[in-house]
Amino acid sequence: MFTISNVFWGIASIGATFFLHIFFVSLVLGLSVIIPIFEIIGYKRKNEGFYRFARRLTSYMVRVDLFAGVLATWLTVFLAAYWPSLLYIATNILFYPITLALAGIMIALVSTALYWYTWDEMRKTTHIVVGLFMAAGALMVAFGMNSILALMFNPYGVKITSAMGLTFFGSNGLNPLANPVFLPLMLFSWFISIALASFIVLTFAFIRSKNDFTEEFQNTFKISRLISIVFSLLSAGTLAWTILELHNYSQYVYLGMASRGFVAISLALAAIVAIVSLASLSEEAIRYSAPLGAVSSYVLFMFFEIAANTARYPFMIVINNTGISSSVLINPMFEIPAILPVAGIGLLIVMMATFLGTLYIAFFVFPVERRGKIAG
Amino acid sequence: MITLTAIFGLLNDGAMNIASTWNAANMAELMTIVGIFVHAFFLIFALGFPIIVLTLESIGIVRKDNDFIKLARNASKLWGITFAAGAVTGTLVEFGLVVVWSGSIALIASMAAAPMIIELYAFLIEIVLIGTYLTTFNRFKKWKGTHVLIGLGVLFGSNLSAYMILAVNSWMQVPWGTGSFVAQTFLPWVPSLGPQVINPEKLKTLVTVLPTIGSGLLSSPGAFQLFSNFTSNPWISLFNPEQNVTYFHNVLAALVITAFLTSSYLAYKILRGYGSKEYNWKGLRVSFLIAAVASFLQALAGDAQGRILYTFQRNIFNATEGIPANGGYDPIVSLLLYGSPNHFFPGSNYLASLLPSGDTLGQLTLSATNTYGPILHAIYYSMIISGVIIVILGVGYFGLYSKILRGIVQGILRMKVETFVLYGSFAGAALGIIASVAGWATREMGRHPWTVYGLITYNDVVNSHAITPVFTAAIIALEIAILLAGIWGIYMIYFKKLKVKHKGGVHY
Repeated sequence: MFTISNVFWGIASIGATFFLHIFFVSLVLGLSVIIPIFEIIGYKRKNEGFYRFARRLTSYMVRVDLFAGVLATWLTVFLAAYWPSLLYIATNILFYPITLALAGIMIALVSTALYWYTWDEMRKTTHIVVGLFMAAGALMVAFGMNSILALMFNPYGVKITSAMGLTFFGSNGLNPLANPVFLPLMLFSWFISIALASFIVLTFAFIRSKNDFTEEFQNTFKISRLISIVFSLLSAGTLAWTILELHNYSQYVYLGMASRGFVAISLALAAIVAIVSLASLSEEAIRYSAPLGAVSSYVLFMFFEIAANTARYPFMIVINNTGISSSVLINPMFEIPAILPVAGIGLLIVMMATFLGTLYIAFFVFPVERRGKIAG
Repeated sequence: MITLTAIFGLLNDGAMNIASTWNAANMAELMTIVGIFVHAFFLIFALGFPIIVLTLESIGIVRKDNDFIKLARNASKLWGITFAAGAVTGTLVEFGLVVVWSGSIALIASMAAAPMIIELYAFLIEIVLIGTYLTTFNRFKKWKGTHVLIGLGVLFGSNLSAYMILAVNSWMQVPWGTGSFVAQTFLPWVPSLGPQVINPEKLKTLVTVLPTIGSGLLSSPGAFQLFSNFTSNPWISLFNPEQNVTYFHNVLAALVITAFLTSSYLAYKILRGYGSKEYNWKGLRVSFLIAAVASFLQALAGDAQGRILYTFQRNIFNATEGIPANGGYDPIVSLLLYGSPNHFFPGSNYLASLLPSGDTLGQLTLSATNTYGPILHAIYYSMIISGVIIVILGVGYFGLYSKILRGIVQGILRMKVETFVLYGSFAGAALGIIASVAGWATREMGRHPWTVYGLITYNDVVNSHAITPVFTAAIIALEIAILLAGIWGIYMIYFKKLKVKHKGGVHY
């Protein structure tokens, strides 16, 4: 029996979790790559300023990372509870990519914890190696998880068989990572995440460099700007490639996006991000371009996710011009009590406010260097 | 090169031999066991450590003694790092559950839905508030109790999380809400498991179809529709009588281990002369006291757990207590259960006689119990003996305050009570870990061949993908690397700079 309640609350729960999750994980992914870059530069140039800056950013990242991690668990359990068949099909066909993502989660979180807690507690080269593990782990997570989205757009590697009047979805033995939609989609998510984080870092570095005319902030500011330019341009390129592959291999999604003007809007947003990043080369424009870059890159990422995923509607997995709808895959075993998702969304709001309050305390009331002094 | 080739050849042959005798479920089980034990190592801190940290902080606030606040703050660093590692390995276990044991998604979609969703909320509370707690340490100058309140919020989150996850595990041990289905279908010695709120027809279809097509059942949305209206009470798994006992037993175990580990660290510092003796003894007295009280309560919880085992899983009870196949007497257990030492306990032959003809899974259950019986008995009693010694250590601690106990300790062991407490800390930590590992090994090994006792077997839920020895070895290597990384982190924070800080006159 299909229950409207399960479909509605499933979409509401997963939707709310997904959009919060994707913001935080993109920040974590970006910072996981950017922070070791600063530390390596600090090591090469023997410049303590880069170390201090990297440490500040790590302090921010560890808090965001834990929050992003818990939301990933939310997604998994909500998927299992509301769309068990979808999760099963994904884990079965994408067994190795998801396992790779799982390994990435383990590597990233452990190395992040070590990276944070062992600052100044070990040799700098060893600490940098831990940081590189942190970056590799974060990239592996996005690598594996994007295979799920690619599968939903283009069911490459899926074998559909019928027996006893029933349809079964299994693997046809092809490597799901060879899905033509996968590589550009994955690269886009890597690059836009790094661009988003670099714009936030750039904003932070710029503000600090204005208040604090030390060489430390001038240097970090220049590196942040370079990273934001490189990755904004790469984001624009891989977005165009993704759209091209959707056009070639997932006509349903492409037409769904194009007919509403979403393709044009996505490309325009990517162009804005790239232009804004280049505008930061001007010392006068940067006060506006840095925060604008952060906002526009986030809007681009979110917009593309919403546009591509709603273009699949009403299907969860698109197969040529048809697909498997969400109501077919919904949990038929029983109606999950509505109090559970309602309580979850309420709690998410309360905890989000608490979390932001903690970040405020951590960064504005007692930033890391002050806490160090107080602790003695 | 020749040697390397020979080694790789041997490894390959070995792997092939394992592959030929082990199936996917065996491989999956091995990596799951390692993963869960690695998770448990960190988890015990998340569960037990808040009580120690908050106790130290509360004493510091009430007595206005800054040493206790420092002790709490230093301990909270370990709380943070082990919580992060626990979250990682928890994610590993959760993902591993849905990826490797993909048929268990049906469990999450049914009887485990409510506890697992609530567990998500508990996890969020825990993760947000632990960040707030660590960030705001020493920040509340006027209302210091506010910080303790935030810590209590974390404590609430971690306990709610544990309670919900253990509800799922308890349902796998005692599938509450299935009425007499298990007894009538596979295991006739099992009593009625609560009200029949799960549709027996659907349940019968599930346990018939799963062994035939395995977890692939979930790959057909149409086939999955066969299980609509599976249950009329999605909350039933939260009312399992096994659950409360298991929860208290586990929380107390975590508390015993973490309190003894804290004591060990402080005892190590005292014995090596690191830091102020007075400062270290302050912490040691508190942590050992917590360990002692928890160990006394644990004896009661362990007794209750044993009674539950006797009631619901008689075949496992027989194996753990070493009851012979033809039955026998066990005066101590008989006294505890019946108030008399003369009760006769029927053995596995009696349970086999209850099986209807053609009940292959029932026979398989008894066969597995008999196979694992000697190991279960040995492991179970290593837990019991460890527990008894821990209780003795707990009693001995009060020799610090009681002249009679002091005399007994000095008379029997020929050592000062202070020395007994110092070395007892190490013994307590080691024995606590042994007891905890043994307890969980008994629980999980005893359930063979079932994932959900009397309903679903391991083979029914394992992923249909080939889980190769190389893949299994890679995952296990990663799991062990996480454990080592966590231990290394603890070493870096707590041990490496002891001498340096000592020279600087810093209390830590």
